[in-house]
Amino acid sequence: MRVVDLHFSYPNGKEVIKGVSFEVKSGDIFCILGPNGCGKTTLLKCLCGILKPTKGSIFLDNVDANLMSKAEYAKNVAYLPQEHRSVFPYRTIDFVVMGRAPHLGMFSTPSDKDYRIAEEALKEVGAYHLKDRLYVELSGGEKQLVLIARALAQQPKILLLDEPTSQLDLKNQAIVLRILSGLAQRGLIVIMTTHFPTHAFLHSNKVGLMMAGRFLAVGGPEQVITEENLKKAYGVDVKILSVKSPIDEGFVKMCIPTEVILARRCLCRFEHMEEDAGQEGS
Amino acid sequence: MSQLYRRILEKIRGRKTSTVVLILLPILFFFVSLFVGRYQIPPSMVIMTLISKILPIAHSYNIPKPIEITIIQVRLPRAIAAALVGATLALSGTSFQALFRNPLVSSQILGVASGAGFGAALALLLSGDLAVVQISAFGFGIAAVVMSYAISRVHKETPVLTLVLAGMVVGALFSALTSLVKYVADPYERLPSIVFWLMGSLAGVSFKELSWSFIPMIASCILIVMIRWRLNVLSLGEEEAKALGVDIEKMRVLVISCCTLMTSAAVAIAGVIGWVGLVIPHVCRMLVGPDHKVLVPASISVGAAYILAVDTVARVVSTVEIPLGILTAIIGAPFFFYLLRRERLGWR
Repeated sequence: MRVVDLHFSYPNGKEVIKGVSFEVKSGDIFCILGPNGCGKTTLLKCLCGILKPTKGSIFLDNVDANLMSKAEYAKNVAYLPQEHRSVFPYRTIDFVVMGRAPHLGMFSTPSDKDYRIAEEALKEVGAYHLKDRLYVELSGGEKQLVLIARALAQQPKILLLDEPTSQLDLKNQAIVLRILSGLAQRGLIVIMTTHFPTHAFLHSNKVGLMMAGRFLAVGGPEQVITEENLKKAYGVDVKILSVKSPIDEGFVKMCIPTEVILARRCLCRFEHMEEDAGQEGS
Repeated sequence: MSQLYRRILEKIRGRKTSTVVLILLPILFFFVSLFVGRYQIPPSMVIMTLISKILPIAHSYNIPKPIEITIIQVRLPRAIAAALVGATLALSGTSFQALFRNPLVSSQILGVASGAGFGAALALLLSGDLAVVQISAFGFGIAAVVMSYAISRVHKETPVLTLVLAGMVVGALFSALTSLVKYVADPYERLPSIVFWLMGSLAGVSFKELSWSFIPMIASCILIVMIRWRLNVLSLGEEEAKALGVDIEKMRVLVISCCTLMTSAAVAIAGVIGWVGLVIPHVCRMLVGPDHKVLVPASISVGAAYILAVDTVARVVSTVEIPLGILTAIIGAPFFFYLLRRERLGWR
């Protein structure tokens, strides 16, 4: 997938994406970082065809996306919204099979084969046991897995995810990120937005740091996620820590805003004071 | 008691049983409505009359003329009309609820009923000829929706919320115009007929009226049945449907046109009949679940059966016929309340 000088303005004339270019290859996990309101979600919506870019082009395997039909494009690119609000309580399997929409003609209903593909997708994310449950009754983590399964049922080459981990607890974050890594190994392109630079370090091989509708830097995580760049994008001082991995030989990198460390110090001092006060009282 | 109810519901939800029940139900009510009526005809006679129309052998039986007229020219078209009206109103309710992602929407949402009501009132005021009334109702019903759609079109797109608001505006406008027509109508002759028409009734439906409304109704029904699975995808919301490669503008125009065509035709032959498009989809969702692949056929079947049953009651229960629209509201409103209390209505 190659994106060349993408621009997008809302009908009121406000330009949100001001020229974005990048290229991703099969097997890449591309993390888009950036402060709130910098245009991450809008960029994803342009990439998946919900919004039409005002300028610039998207190429899939060197074919201009403008020349593809909507269904044709959706066969290649699947999109996971931040959150899905369902009105009707569909069964999970019926929900996942909706991912087959771009492959089915307007007048057809899903066949047994489509249901089998949907079941395979559920198995792949380890959510097959949820098949007959109602989607609305699932927990946040389960919903995310089912959404990924729906995207997989689309059999796309590119998976776009909008903050896939922001609503999840620690365990579910790990599960989702593991699944995404597995998909990339299988040859899919995973493009996701995230608020955690640490996740980008751990799970991606390509990072784009966005600021005010543009990429500040694009490249490998080591080059892009630097204290200097983060300071520029987010406007806060950030320390990048390199921790020796307890499991293997490598290092794990983490980002912590300086202010958090300072705030923690205040908190510690406060705790000490409380302890002192307690001892005096007794 | 409630356990028994639950067990029955579980049974019905099983695929095979529900299919059989849903197919048989409207057929059963269809024949019931042919057999019963104020004018009592022995069942054997009804059967003979029907057979004589299909098979030439039965001609040897001597069927009295009044009986033949009652069954073939009064009850039969009325039963067909009831089935069609019920099926189309319920189906358009189901489709609109999916399209607008709102289970409280009914086929009236874009102003069809108000427009058609005004069209009929105007025609009743000016001419009184039944054919003119129906054509006028049909035309204004469609005009109302076209207006709603045109008003809501901003920036080459039609957001759902704007569409609903436009529908309310247009509905209010036509209601006001209907009131105006009533106000100027002659209170001894024209006004009562306008009021009765607005209450909704199937009395006096003949094959002639059915012949022209039959085609738009059946054609749009078939189209919706064909695209029924897409309604699932549409009910995910605009953005997700787009991301799944669905051309939502096209789909929306298609669904709205079909629903408008059939609702207008239904209103034109039966007057304003409320509550069907709201209650029946919910009942069906309780029976077969929200998947439109099954829900759409179920709505057609239950809607047809419901209006057939209510219309039969409307003409049998008292010497003076009760207007159908009043009965559906009297049954529909408390039933809806009951549904609200007892189950989640298949959505939340």
